[in-house]
Amino acid sequence: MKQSGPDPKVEGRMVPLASDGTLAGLRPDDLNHQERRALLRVITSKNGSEERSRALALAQAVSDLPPPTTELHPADVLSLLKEREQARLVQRWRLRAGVGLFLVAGVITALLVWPGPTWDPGTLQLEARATSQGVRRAVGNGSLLPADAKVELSVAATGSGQLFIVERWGYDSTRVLLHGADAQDGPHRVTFEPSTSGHSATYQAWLCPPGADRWSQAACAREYLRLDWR
Amino acid sequence: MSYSLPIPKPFAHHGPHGGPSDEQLLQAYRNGDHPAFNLLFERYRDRIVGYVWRMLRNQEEAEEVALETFCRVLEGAWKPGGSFRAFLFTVAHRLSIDRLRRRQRTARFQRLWKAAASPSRSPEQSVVADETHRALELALARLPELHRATVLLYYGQELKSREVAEIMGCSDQQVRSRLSYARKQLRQLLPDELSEGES
Repeated sequence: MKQSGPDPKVEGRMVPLASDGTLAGLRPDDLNHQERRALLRVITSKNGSEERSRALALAQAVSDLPPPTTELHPADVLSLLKEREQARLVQRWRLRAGVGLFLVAGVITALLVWPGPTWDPGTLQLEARATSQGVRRAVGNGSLLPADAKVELSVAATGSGQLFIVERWGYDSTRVLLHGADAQDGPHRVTFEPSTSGHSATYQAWLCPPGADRWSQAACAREYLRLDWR
Repeated sequence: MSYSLPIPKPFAHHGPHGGPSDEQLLQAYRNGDHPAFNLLFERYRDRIVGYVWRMLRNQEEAEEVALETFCRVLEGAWKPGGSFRAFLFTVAHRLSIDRLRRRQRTARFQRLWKAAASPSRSPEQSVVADETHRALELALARLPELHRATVLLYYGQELKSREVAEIMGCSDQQVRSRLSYARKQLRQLLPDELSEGES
């Protein structure tokens, strides 16, 4: 017997009506008003009554199945819970230790690898003027100068840092003409006479990071010019 | 029209327990009253172990799942507002289904299953003495797992169809259909005296 009509409700829920076979196996408190009436009609019919009896017998038998014997006790649950809490605690500490170790390793690596704050040397300019027999003129790289010429080197930088000017000649002769002047003080001028004659000399201007007390190829910016002396 | 339907014993839904409710016991435990958990545990231990055992057919696994289920309760997985027993069976059901799925994925399960199904090691023999029970256990074991779970929860645990639907994550209508299908299957699997009923 199929039910028809408006959708019924079970405890406010919309549920399609059940067929007779389905109804016979359900408890009344799971049925809506219309289904209960249908169930009443089902169990008063011969077939429906038998179906209902079979369902009741099955339900009774399933309900009567004995529980398996078990030795479980509340203490087992509490003990497992405690074990888990301890395991979680250990795991949490391991995690924290791992994170801490990772951070320390990271800091150490950064300190070892990090070149320090980025230093921008800006531009570095090295100019030379020579005075000979009362005549002063600008000279460039590779200029030939008389032996009595006085040279003025002028070095200026747009960035900050320490300025050095070094004269190099011969195999490994070096003379420092300017040592650690502050680039932000403006252009620095150095006037000198050559340390040698009849040879070439190279004049190197170095702009090194603030605080540097000497020049180095890796850390400093460099400009140079070569002058030849008669 | 006034009428009433007799509510047969297996269909009688338990009213409030004679004592504190499940929710009150759990709250008491959370407030530090540890013996309250003992009461809650005793109230559901056999039901949970029984349900899981009939799903998994393995005593050790049934106990492991029951332990896990109660652990999750104590770990605060249940939030007030829903039905406690529905939550409990939901956890037990899902863990059981997980285990069944895991079994199906492993070849090892096939060997174990064959061993468990052999007459000398049948779990029914150690648990069910009565022939009727034994027949019913075997018939239930042959049902598809979702139909078996529906029968065990609705008839065995006498949960409401709405609760069964919540536990299994399906609709009321599906619960009803599964029950109807399962009853037909069981009728074919069971001896006449049980499938025909007594009244």
